[in-house]
Amino acid sequence: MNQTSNELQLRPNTSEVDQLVLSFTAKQVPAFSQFLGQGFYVTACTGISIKAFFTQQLEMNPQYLEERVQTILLDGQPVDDTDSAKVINGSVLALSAALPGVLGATLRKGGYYAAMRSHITYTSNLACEQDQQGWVIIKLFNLIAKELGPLFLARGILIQATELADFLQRQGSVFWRLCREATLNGQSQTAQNLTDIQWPADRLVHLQIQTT
Amino acid sequence: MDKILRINMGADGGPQFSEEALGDYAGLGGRALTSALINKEVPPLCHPLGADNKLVIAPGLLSGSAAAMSGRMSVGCKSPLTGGIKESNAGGQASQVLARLGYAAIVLEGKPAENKLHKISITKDGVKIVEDNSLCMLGNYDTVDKMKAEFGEKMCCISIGPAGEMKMGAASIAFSDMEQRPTRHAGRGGVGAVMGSKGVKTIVLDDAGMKMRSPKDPDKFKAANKEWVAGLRKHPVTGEGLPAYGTNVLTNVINEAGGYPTKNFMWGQFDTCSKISGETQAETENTRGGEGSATHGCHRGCIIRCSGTYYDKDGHYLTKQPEYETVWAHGGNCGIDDLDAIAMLDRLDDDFGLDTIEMGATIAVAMEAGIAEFGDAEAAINLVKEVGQGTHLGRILGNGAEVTGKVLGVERVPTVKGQAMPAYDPRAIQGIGVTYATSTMGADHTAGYAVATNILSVGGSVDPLKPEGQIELSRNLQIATAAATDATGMCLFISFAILDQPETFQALIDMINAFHGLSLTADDISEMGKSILKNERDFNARAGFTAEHDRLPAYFLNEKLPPHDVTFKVKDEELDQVFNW
Repeated sequence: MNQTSNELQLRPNTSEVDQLVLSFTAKQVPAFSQFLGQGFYVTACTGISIKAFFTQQLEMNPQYLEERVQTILLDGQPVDDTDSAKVINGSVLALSAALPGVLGATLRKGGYYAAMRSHITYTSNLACEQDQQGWVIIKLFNLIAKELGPLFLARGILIQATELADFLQRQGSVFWRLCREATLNGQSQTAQNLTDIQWPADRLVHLQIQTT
Repeated sequence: MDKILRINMGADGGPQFSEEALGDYAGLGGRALTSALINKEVPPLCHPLGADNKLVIAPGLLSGSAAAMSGRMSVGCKSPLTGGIKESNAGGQASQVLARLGYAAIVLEGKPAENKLHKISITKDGVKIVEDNSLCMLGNYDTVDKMKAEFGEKMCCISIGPAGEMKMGAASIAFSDMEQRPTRHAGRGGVGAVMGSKGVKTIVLDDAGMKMRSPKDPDKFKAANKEWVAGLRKHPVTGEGLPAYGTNVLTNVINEAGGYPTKNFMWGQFDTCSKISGETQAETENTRGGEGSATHGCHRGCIIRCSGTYYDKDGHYLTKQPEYETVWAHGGNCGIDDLDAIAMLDRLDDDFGLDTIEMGATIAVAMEAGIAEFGDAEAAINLVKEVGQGTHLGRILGNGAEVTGKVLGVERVPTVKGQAMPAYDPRAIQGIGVTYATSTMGADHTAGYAVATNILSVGGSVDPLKPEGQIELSRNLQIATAAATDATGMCLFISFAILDQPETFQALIDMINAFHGLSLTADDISEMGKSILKNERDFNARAGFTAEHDRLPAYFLNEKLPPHDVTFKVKDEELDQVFNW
């Protein structure tokens, strides 16, 4: 079967979380779209609609959700109605702006070509308890990542340490030159220190990007 | 653009050319012209590489004018890959230049008695056909460089690489871009093999001294073009998404939806796809910098600029920004997640003159057969090099996924009518599966694009949220695509602006009318689309195609696609209704 080693676990081990803060000048923030696209954890009060989750819990502008976010995938299934689709513990929510191609038009929420992907469209009406505390994985793609990514990164996102290690090891001198300061659990770090860390496989890191 | 240039490569005493009026083909452009001519003049049962086949190269109705995005070129013939009619199209400079030279089409006919190569030059001063065997087995890049040295910096080139000379089923025809690089290809269906069979290595075009084509009603045309450009710029796809990320913006989302064919269509998700996504690609290009890195047009007059330029780690030009289909075919479909390796494969394909979709699909079939391991980028590069060198294995691979699957004993071969499927698994997105199955072209995602069928009302109203609408939607998309983009010479990516913005679609119709002095309506556009498809269906029927050819391979009906575990559910009798309008 296909490998799923990079998939985020639905029940994150939050007993030990490292806090990594990277600081950049506002005009020279490198791209972190890899993490935004692969997904990051957000604590959530589950059992509510997708619309309520984004607009109330995450304080997203309802107009932005309605107009700018053109495709929403809930556990890989295209969503047409954000009022009826429910967020449960372990849900994976992916957001995209308008996409090209016949598939881009097909995946649009409530779009004219929605019938073309009816076999994978989200239809579940599972009964679920409201107001349960849980975890949701959010994935941000393309223009949505560009626009919302900095807001999430400023608050901090929870990601797997192994992914972070892979990312940091692949960064060149430009990245580290732009990084004005790095602290791990409050301790200042050099690039060498960070790239040398051997994180346990199930460790999570709260990555926060500060801009000055 | 009121004449056709016919070049008989098999004439007694050597190639001869003639010019003629449009006659029965008046008012047609692009795919409408290529398909009408092939259906009328080519015997459907002829050998695709024989003297009776013809290669038609036709700009669109608005090419050569000031209309933005009007630079697509259609290439038509009987396909050596499918055995049916073929229209394959490409961007690049040639469409605008050929139209300004006054030609609605070049038709290559006949076949030279001896295995010799020719170069053809077309300028305002006339047509020259010269034997030049020094071009033999040159890659497209070297060929264009030689033509540039001979004809100057302002020419543009139509050429084939070694794959076309070896008459491979996956051979493409290259069209040079604004930088005179052979990066734009009429890739599908083996059109390059037909050009090779005519003994033509390259056609050089230079429109020096020629003027831009003038509209019948300049004021109306100018106003419509202004509205047209404004509409494209304000739409989030054509004004923001495509310029920022190119077509590869699709990778992450299609993968998330479980419709990203992975490792020869075995899975619907590729676990490391984010390493080759449009977002990562754009970041890589922006970081490396260089002229036209992440946002660049493929021809003058393009305002969407969905392309880019891919430089290697050392900052040297490698290839144009690989498209979504290429990144998928050579990437996820082969288990490869290395953008630099994929860019190298794209460069090799362009240089040898190969369809990137067909080659990626073919290598994945070869990997399933054990010729190489999934994920082995170096092995994939070496396999493409074998194609370019014409080794025995390379000759097999160069004839596409279906031939390779037969030779290597692989059942899972993702083709329809002999042509490899593009980057959407038809089990997840079943409406696209309907188009793959029934298209006159073989499996082809561009045959039913997201053109404004809702505005064109080509097949009655469809409830978008009911699953039974797939047949109607596919039918309407195929009709609308044939007319609104393939016949006009408009880039396919205008689709979204005209899908969502009725005023932008009206601007397109107004432009066509003002340019040609017509009064077409949306209904007329629909009729044009139907007429194109009727021509193509008629040719294919006479070539021996039946309803049984409008089917997906059986494994799509039997093998469940993870993660949604779906099979293709559309019934045969439903597929047979697609062309009943």
